[in-house]
Amino acid sequence: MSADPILWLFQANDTAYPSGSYAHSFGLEELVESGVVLTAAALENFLVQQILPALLTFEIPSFARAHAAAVAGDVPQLAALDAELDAWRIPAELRDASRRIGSQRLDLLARLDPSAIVTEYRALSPRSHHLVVTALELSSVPLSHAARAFAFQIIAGLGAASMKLIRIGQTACQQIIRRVLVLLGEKIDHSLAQPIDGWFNPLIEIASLRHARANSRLFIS
Amino acid sequence: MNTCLSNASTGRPVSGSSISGHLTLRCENRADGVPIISQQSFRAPIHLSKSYIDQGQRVLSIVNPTAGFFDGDQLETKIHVGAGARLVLSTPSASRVYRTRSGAAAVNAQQFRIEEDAALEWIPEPFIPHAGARYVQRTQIDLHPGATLLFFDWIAPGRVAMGEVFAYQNLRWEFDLFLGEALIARERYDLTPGGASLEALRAKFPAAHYLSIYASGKMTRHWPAEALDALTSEQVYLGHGPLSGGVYVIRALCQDSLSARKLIEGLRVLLYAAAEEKPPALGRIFC
Repeated sequence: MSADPILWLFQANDTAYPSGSYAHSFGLEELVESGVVLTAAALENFLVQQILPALLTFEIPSFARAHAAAVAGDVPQLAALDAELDAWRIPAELRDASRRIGSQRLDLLARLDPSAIVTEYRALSPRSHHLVVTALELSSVPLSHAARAFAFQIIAGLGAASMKLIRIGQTACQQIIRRVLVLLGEKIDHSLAQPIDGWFNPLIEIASLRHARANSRLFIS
Repeated sequence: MNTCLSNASTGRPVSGSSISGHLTLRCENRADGVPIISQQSFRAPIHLSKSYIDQGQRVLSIVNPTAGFFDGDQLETKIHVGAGARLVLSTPSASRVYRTRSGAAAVNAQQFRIEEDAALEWIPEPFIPHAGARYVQRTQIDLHPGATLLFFDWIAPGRVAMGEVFAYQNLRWEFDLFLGEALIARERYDLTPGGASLEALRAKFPAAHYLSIYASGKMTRHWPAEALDALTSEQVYLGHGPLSGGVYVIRALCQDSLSARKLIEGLRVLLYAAAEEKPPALGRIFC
C-alpha cells in the first residue's frame, strides 16, 4: 500500500476499526466472576503481573517473527506460525477468540489492501490468528511501532472489557492503562529481540476453560 | 519421531556426585493380547518395580532409590507403548528435587511414544521442589490419533509442612504434545519465586498445587463435562476443554495436597468410567 504507513497504523489501531475485539474479555470475565479481579487495584495487578509478562515473553517475540515473515513475503512461514499458535493457546476459547478477531481483520484488510501477499495468505489461512494478521496488516510499519500497536490492542482491549465487568471509571481505567504502557515501553525493545518462550498462567487458562462452559456471560471469550 | 524440545545443557559446573541415568521401556502385546514389558533398561537414579496386570493393563512403578534429584543429575526417559498395548506408569512416592549446591539444575528429559490402539496412563505422585532447588523437565509425547492417553502432572509448592512454600530457585518446564505429526499443545515456562511467574499460582490459593492433565482416545469419547464442572469447589479451581483431534486438557489449582490428591482420585474414576472401564490399582497407599 502506498499510503502513509503511520496514518495506516492509526486507522488499523483505531477503536472504530471493526475488529470485533470489543466482544472479548480473554478470560477476564470469569476471573471477575470467580473473585480474582474485583477492584481497580486487582485489575492493575492482573495486567502487570500476568498479562504484561506473557506479552513480553511470548506475544511480542512471536509478533516479531510474524512481522519478519510478512515483510519478507514469506507466506508459508506465516502459516506455520499461525498453526503453532494453536498449540500454544491451550484453551479452545482463546484460540477461537484470536482466530475470530484475526479473520475479521483479515477480511477487512483484503478489502482495504488487496495486495498479493494478503490475497495469497487469506486463501491459505482465512481464519488466521490475530497476532499473525496484525503483523501482516502492519508490515509497512517499522517493527518497533507495529509491535507496540499490537501490544496496545491487547492492553486496551482488556481495559475496555474491565469497564463492563468491575466498578471502575474511565479515568481510573486510563490511568491503569497508562501505567501498564509505561512498563511495557521500558521492556518491549528488549523483548523484540528475544526468542519465543512461554509464560506460566494457569489462572487465565482455567478461567478461559470455565468461561467457555458458563451458563451466562457477557463476552464471547 | 517429532523433535522440537531443546537439548541445551544447563551450562553450569556440577558437583562430582551428580548422576546421569536413563530409563528405556517398551511395552507390547504378547501373541495372546497380554501387554508385556518387551524391553527395559535403566540406571540410577531410576529403578523399576515388578510389574503386574490389572484391568487388562500392565502396571509398573518407577522408583527413585536416591530419594530425588540432586543438582546436575540428568535422567533421560524413553517410553514406547506398541500398537494395542496398555501400560500404566506410576511412582510409589513423591518425586523430589533438592537444593542445588553447585548452582546447576537437575534435568529430566522424557519422551513418550504411544502407537495405534495403545494406551498409556502416566500418573506420578507429586513433584516436590525443595528450597533452593533448580530443575528442568522436558516432555515430548508422540501420540497416534488412535491411541489413548491419560497424562498427569502435579507440581507441589514445596515442603509446605516444613514452611517451604515456593522456596525453590527455578523450575523450567517444557512440554510438547504431537498428535500424529501435528503439534497440538506446547508449554514453556519458568517458575521463579521473587518474580511475577508465580502470581497466577498464588492469586487463588497462597500455596497452590498445580495439576495438568491431558486425555485422549477412550478417555474422551464420552467426555464427562458436567461431572468435571462439579469438581470445582472452595478448595479446587478447575477448567477443562478440547484441544484438536479429540484430545482434552484439564487444569486445576488446588488449595493443598489433600484437595489435589482427592481431585486426582476423582478424576481417575470419572475418566475411566467415561471409557467404560475401571482404573487399575496403582499398588500404592493412595489411589
